[in-house]
This record gives sequence, C-alpha cells and structure tokens, in this order.
Amino acid sequence: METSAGFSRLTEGVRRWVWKQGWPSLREIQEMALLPVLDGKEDVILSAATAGGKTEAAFLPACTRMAESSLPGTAILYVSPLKALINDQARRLESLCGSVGFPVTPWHGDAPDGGKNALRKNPRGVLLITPESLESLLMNSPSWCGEAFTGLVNVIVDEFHAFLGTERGCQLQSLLRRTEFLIGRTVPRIALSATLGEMEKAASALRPEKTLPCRILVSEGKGSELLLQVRGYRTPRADKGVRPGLPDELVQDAYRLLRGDSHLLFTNSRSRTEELAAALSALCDRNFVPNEFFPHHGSLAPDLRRSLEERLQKKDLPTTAVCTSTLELGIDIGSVASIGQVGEPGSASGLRQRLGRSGRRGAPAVLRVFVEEDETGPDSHPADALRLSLVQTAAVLSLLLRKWREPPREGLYHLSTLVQQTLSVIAQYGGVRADQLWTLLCGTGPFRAVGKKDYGDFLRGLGEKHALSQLGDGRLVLGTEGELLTDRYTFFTAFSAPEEYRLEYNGELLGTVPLEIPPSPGGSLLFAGKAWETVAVIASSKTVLLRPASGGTPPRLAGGRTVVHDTVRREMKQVLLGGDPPRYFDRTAAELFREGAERFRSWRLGETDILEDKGSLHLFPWRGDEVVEAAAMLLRRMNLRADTFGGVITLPGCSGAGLLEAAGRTLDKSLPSGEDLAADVPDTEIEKFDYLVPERLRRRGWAARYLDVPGAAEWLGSLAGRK
Amino acid sequence: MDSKKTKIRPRERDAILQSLRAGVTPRTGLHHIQVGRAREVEALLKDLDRILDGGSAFRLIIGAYGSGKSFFLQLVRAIALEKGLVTLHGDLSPDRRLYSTGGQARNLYAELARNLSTRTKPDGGGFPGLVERFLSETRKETEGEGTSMSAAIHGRLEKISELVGGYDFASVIEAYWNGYERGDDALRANAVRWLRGEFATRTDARNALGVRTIIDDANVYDTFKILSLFVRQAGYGGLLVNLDEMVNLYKLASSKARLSNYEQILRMLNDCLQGTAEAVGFLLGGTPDFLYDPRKGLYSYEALQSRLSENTFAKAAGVTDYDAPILHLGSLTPEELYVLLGNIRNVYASGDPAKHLVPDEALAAFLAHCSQKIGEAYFRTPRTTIKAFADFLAVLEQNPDIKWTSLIDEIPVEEDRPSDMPEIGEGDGDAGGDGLTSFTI
Repeated sequence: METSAGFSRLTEGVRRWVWKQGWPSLREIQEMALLPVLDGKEDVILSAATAGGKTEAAFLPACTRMAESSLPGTAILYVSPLKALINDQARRLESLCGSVGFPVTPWHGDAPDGGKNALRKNPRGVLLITPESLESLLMNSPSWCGEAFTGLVNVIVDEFHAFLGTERGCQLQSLLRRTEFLIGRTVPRIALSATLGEMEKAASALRPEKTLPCRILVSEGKGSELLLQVRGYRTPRADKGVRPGLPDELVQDAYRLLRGDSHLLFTNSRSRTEELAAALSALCDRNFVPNEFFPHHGSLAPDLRRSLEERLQKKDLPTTAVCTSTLELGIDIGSVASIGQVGEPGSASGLRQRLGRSGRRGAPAVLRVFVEEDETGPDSHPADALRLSLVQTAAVLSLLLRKWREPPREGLYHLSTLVQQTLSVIAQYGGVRADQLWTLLCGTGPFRAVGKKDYGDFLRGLGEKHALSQLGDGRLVLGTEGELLTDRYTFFTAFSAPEEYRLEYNGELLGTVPLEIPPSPGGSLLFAGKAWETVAVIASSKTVLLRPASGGTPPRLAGGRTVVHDTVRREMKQVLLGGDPPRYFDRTAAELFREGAERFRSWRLGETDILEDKGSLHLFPWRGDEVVEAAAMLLRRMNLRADTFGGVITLPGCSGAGLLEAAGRTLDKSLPSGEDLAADVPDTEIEKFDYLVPERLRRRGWAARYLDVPGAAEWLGSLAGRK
Repeated sequence: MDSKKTKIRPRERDAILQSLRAGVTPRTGLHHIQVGRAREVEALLKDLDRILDGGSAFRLIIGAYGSGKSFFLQLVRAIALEKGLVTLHGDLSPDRRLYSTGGQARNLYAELARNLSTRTKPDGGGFPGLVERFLSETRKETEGEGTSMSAAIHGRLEKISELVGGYDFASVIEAYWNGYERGDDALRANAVRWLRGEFATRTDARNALGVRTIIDDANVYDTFKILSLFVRQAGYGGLLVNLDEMVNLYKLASSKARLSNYEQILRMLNDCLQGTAEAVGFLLGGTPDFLYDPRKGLYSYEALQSRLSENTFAKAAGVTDYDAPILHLGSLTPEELYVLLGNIRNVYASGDPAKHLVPDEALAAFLAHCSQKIGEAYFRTPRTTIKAFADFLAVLEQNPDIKWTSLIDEIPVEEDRPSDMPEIGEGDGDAGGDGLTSFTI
C-alpha cells in the first residue's frame, strides 16, 4: 500500500497489522489524525461519516503511543455511551491491540467478570467503559484508579455528539477532569464524532477547562445515503369531547411497511405510543400473525422494557419498538432496518441521533415520518390551518439534509449533575472541604456557570436535605440521604427518563403527557382533542389539575413538548414563504402543505407577525421556544392571558391596541431576570437530582435552559415598533 | 513539670523536633513537652494499673480536630510501655477498619501488628521479640519439669486454645519454635507473617504452616483477646490497643458497613465492662462528630448510646466523671499553649535554660502573632502554631545574628484546614470575599 511520512512513525506492530488488513491506503481521516495524535500535545476531534474509519484513525496512533510508553497501568481509556458499541469495539480492537501485545478489556454492567478481575489485578492495555461504570470506579475504587490510570497516554470518547449539551455529557466532562486530577496531569483526549454544527463549541465541550489546545479534523467523505419519505394523513374532525383516534390509514400503512423486520417507531408522547402499539398488535392478531409491535416508554415496568430491549439486541425475531424518546437515552439495541417517526420531529439533532440507529453495514438509512393534520373548519386554530406540524417536519428535515444541527447548549448550569458529582467526589475521598469541591468541579471543572457564593448556597441546600453533613473541622461528608443515594447503582446514571405529567379532572386520570414546561394555573392545555384550563400543578406528584376550558378550539400542535430551536422556527417561515412542498412529501402531505401555504399568503404572515381572528390575537414570532415562552410569560405579567401552542402565542379576547400597550409597558419597566420569571412556573424539577437543588438556584438553572428573556424583549420591541 | 531541669539527650531532642516540625506527634520524649491534662493522665494511669492487675479498660478519647488526641494517646502508650505492657497502635482509614468483608479489617490488624511495641522495641516491630520471650519463658518451664517443648507450648496456651482461632494461634507459635530448632528461617518467617495477619488466603497458610485458618476480616477482635492472654504468658503485664482516627468509621459511606464496625466497638465495651476481657485496654480516639452525631455517629447505634450516655449526676453537679468510658479532651487554653511553647524552647536548648534561644517575651509575642494571623484557631488547633514555632526557633538557631523581633512577623502561620482530598491548586484566589474557605453548612 501507499505509505506516508506519518505512517512510518507508527510502531512496527501497528504497521504490520495495517498491511495485514490489505488496505489500499489509509482513509483520509486516518491519515489526518496520525501526527496530531502521535505528538500528544493537543486534543483531537475526529469527525467523519459513519464507517469512515474513525475508530482506527484514533487507535492506530494511540496504540503506537501505548506500545512506546514506559509507564505502567492502563494506557488507553475509551469511553462510549453504549454497551453494545463497547462489545463491538472490543472485538474489533482485539487484533490491532494484540499486534502490539496489549489486552482490550470491556467494562460495563453486563461485561464479563473475568476480564474485569484480570484488569483489577493487572491494569494494562485498553479499557473500554461507559461513563456510569467509570463513575462507579472513581467513587468506589479511587486508589485502584489512581494506580491504574497513572500511565494513561490517551482518553478516547466515542459517539461524542451524543454527549453534547446533555447531563450525561456534563458528567463525562467532570469524570475526565477528576481522572486527570487524580493522576496529577493532563491526558490528550480524542473525540470521535459525527459531523456537528459548530465544531468550535464541540472543542470546548471536550475540555471545558481548556488546559490543552484542540485540533478539529473533519473528513467530509461521501456521507451515508438516506431514504426519506413524509406521509401525510387527514384526521377527521372529532366531535367535541371525543378523543380523535389514530387515522386507520396510518396504522394500516405502518403495519404494511414495518412488519417482517426490525424498526424503531418514535412518537411524541406516551399515550400515542400506547395507542399505536395497541392498534398495531391488534392488527397482528386480526391477521393471525405473531405480534411484533411492542411499546417502550418511561412508565412501562422495567421488566417489560428490558425484555423488549433484549429481543431487539438478539435480532432473531422481527421486532418493532413503538417508543418515546426514552429509547434515545443510552439504551443498547443495536441497529434496525428503519426509523419511523409519528408526528412532527422536534429537533434535527434528535432526529439525526435516531437515524444513527438505522442503516446497517453500508445499507442506506431509512426514515419515514407519519404526520397527521386535522380537517379544518371555520373555528379551527390558525396553527392547524397553517399545517404547522407538516411545516415543522419540512423545516427540520430541510435543515437536517443541509447538515445543520442544533448547536450544543452553552451556559447551562447542570445543577442536577452537579449534585451527583459533588456527592461522588465526597464519597471518593471521604471528607472534602467546600473550597476544594468548588475548585475541582466549578473553578477548574465543567460547572463554570456556578460561582462560589452560589455553590455555598447549593451545598447548604444539600445539607438541609441530609445529602451531606459537615464535620466539626469543616470537612464535608455524606449525610444519611447521600449515603442511601450513593449506595444504589442507579446513582451512577446522571440522566433520567423525563417524567410525564398526570392530567386529572374531577379526580379522574385523563392521561399523561410529556411537558418540558408545565402550564401555569389559568393557562390552557390541549389534551385528547379538548382544551383544558389548568387549575393547579402539584409538583411533588407531577400532576396537573384541569377543568374544561371555555371557547376556542385548540390547535393540534400543542406546545411544551420539546423545545424547538430558533433556527427551526425561522426555517418554518422560510418554508411557508417558499410555498412548495418538499419532493419527499407524499401526495396527501403535499396537498395539506399547500393548504397551509395558501393560508399563510392570504393572512399576509410574511409581512406581519399578528393575526386578529374572531376576537383573539395570534402572534407568530417564528422564534425558538425560549423566546416564545419568555414573551408569553412577560405578557402574562401584564395581566394578559397568553397561551402558547407550538410557537404561536394566542391572546384570547385581546385587541391589537391592548397588546401594543402591554408590550410597551413591559419594555418601560426594567426586565425581570430569567430566575425571577421562573418563579411563575409551578414546577422546575426536571432532571434526576433537581429535587436536591435549592429552589432559587434551580429556577436560575431552569431559566437558563428554557427562557431567553432578552430575545423576548427584543421581539416585543419589534412588535411595539421600538428598538 | 520539672522537665526544665532534666537534660535531654541529643537523639531524643532531634526526634522530638523533627516530629514537631513535620506536624506529627513525636514518638518519644513526650513528657518533655506535655502540658496540662493532669486529671486525664491520672485517670488513664488508673486504667493501666487495672490492666496490669488482669482487668480491662475501655475509653473513648473525644476531642475536636487538633485538640491533641493523638498526642495524648501516644503519651499514654509511652507510659504503658514503661509499666511493662505490650501496645498495639494504629490509625483507622478508609482501607483500615474494625470489621469488613473486603480485607480492610485485616489491613487494620496488619498495621497494628507491625506496630506491636514493647519497652525495648517502643517503635513497633516487636512481634518476633514477643514470641521469643514467650518461648524462653516456656523453655525455663520445660527445663524444670522435663516435658517436651511442644507439650509445654500447648499447655501454656491451653486457655488460648479455647478461644476462637486460638488453636491455630498456638500451632503457629509451635511452628515458630520448630523453625527455630531446625534452623528453618523460612518457617519462622512464615509464622511471624501469619501472626501479623499477612497471609491473604487460607490455602497459602495451610501450605506454609499446616493451619486451617488465618487472621481475617471477621476475627480481628478475637485476635486482640488471644494476644492479651499471650502477652501475659510471655511475662508482660497486659495489652493496650490504641485506635486513632475513629472518625473514619463515621465516614464510611454505607450504613451497613458502619453498623457492623460499631458492633465491634460494642463487643469491646461489653467485654470490658462485664469483665470478660482480661489484661487488655482499648483507647479509641475520635472527634465529637464520631461520637455524638445522631444519624451516623456511635450514638446512632442505640445499644452503644445507652451504655455510653454520660453520667447525669456528674453533669448536674457540674463536675467531670473521669471514670466514665468517655474522656473529653478540651482545647488547650492560651496559658497552656504558652507553657507548651516554653517546653519546646527548652527541648531546643537540650534542657539547659542558659541556652534558650529567645526570652519569655518572644513566646507571648509569637502567640499574639498567631492569634492575629488565624484567630482563635491558634490555640484550638495548636498543631500549626507549634509547627510554626519550631520552624521559628530553627531559623534562629541556624542564624544566630538574626534578632527574633525582626523575624517574628515573617513567620507564616496557616490555618489547619483538613481534607481527605489532595490540595488542588490553580483555582482562583479567594479574592471576592464571598468564598468558601470558612464555609459552614
């Protein structure tokens, strides 16, 4: 094969291994990675298409460094979000690492004990591990880690894009920081990633403490092929009070297209998941064929979920999981034939991640989006008349195809994960001072947004809840609650399946919905085709008490389910301005889309953001949910009733003049902070350990994630004709 | 104290000063610097006498961080050695506990056994000497009566053999004798390794010594009881076990692990109070958190709390009951600390007042300097004050032309801020004033 200058610097065993593979040459990304990794003076992000040879790009030079290192212990720490991927990589890396005489040890909850025990006795070679298992090792075997990791030459993070902006990613940043502190030096990191929107942000996510520079290497490659279709369905208008069922046509299509192979079929809520899985398995019964459709969501019994996951892992029976986003959260199921999505996708990066599960060994990835739109009538909500579900689908897909992804969120507090990391560090060392904790985790760690004073309040909050307590000499130790928490293996997981809210009316359970932002008392909510008014929110049991709302028909596209990015909303407006449906829309979808675009033109929404309709005002900011929610909250503070539905703000019984006056008054006063506005939200406990975070801080953390107050003010200003 | 008149030998002087400057408790010559605590020492002297009489003692030495617990325990240990007791001493740590299933209890025992001290071996390493003294006592007996050594060993250890693990203990002593007789050094070394708890598996022990058990996590306390009888048979007065840093049990993250350790303390307490333990004393050093914390401390264990609860009569009368199992060490007073600095000055001068490096005013000035730097911590946790003072005198000794008055403000005194995590640098300074250095929950 052709060789390069970089190649000749690889150690002999590695070179021989490459020759034995019979490759004509190294791939582009592999060639690019050689020298930066071999030099070991900087972090490297390797971005290339799937099957682009990223793994070898990292391991060829890293194995060379391992072979040439004289230090004892484990040389390469490889972290992956998925157990199945670790098992695959272990098989794949065995011969390469064996060529230089080093073992490869997979280490996760289900990994064989033999390898783990051997590594415990004699730490060497490559350790493949999940963040959760690394957490457990650092916390429970700190002295072993101190010795075993002392000779690390590289840390490799696989599927890096899956960690970005998440609690789990934040946990990983903290774990790597703690590992480097434990061994007293920095270790160059290599991140393997799918192509990302803003690579510079990814660099600072790989090492927030910036103690090493980062080099970003991108190999465009050919990219993987994607087969894509959006199918539209007309849902007949339901009678008032009757829950509209799934369109029969949709169920038939899903059955016809998906039976006989393995697929993931995502929906946007648990109730839809249940309904669809039940309809599909009933269809199997009716046709006397074995059922292959199973639901998967957070409130299912863990046993049921696990048996479905195992069935998907084994791959010996065709299986379709009808699932919510819980299946995105680090659950190992291997790859499937296709991805289905029922209802509009919320984000491009989420959809990309889902797509990553499809497309086996060179086969193209397949995505089908099934979108329902209601038949409209004179009293329909404008959002329905505009066909916003389909418009959002078109916008997300168009951005996805242009390789745009939601950039990783910055400036978030991750207070839930800070709870976990604080307790874990204390458990690791025994008794630690507050100032040391702050320096390790916040001052020089990933929790940059948390200052000393706030961290003091944060620790006091943990003390009040008995998560930690303080010795007479100032050291912080675990409290009784902290002990119970850290004693369970579930502690090592930073993320949790989002809890859905229970909706109740007159003591009766109506159902559950996932809401990122629970409605305030008095606010409206759409459920089962009816509009409801919120009476109260009980945070402790995640329950929303409702009563039927008077007047007005709510739109299908209810808000609050996922946070839609600013760019997606702006793209939606562009899609409507363009007026033509994308070519991957089927006939019904295209028809529905044209109806929406026609309405958009006739309402002149290209020029104005305000629509007066039957005594209500509808506002179209075409902005992300952070702006829309903050704007609605600001208007509510001006004593206006403001409901948000899928990016549209509806003000019942409000006149244009009333709105302008309210917007003006908002801007005349000094703007409330996000933390202050969040006080109007009845429940800010979202993430796993949020219940241990003092309320004031939790509100601030919540506002940083969900509200953009300056953006809202700017938009209100543009309405009121002010700068 | 009349220490000012006694001459201090150079080796002792250097050892004391080295320890003080390193911030640790000196091993020898503690009486040269000891101040105050007269009632406490008196109470412990009574305990030691009781052990010598074949009785038992149990004390929790409770004091805040830096109040001098370790110093006090060392002082009592030194006295115990003088009185002819054998001592075991060690610090608990996350890897050294009284009870465990993962080797941590055996680690503690191994540490204690390495530190086994006698009057002639005051700094540990006394186990072989102890065994040899036992054997020579036994040989004297056989010479009189003409019995075999093996029979005599088992005869003298009959009582021990009845205890848990006692039979194998006796067999190992016999193996040591056999090794001695046959000139088999490996056998002797293996016997000592067994006695020190250094065998990790039973298979290894069986292959090396032919015994079926080892000293392991579950039988550490039983081994203390065996040892207390054994040292008597070897001609010593009894056994004193000093366990320091008991707060490490408090810090165990699992309540189950903590309770099983507290159970061992209950066994000690019960055996001592009920008189079933012979010629043994336990001194346990810990902070008030370790004892009083109602959720995690010893008091969280109901059976211990009721046995340890303080003498309400003494409390009502406003006096201290020095016979109670809990002995409180208050902080030194500023006056006592003044005397202590005087003693250190005296050690520097090898006990000769004519060679004092600084006059009395310097002691007061030094304390004032510390008080200004770190507040009342200077006498509450005197370790840093003492360390700084020893450094101060060292500079003056090496540079006779420097005047103490010009040096005193240069001496850095840092507050003692303990942590189990290594110090982490590079963080921002604490300039904002809203920092976390003196953080309280």
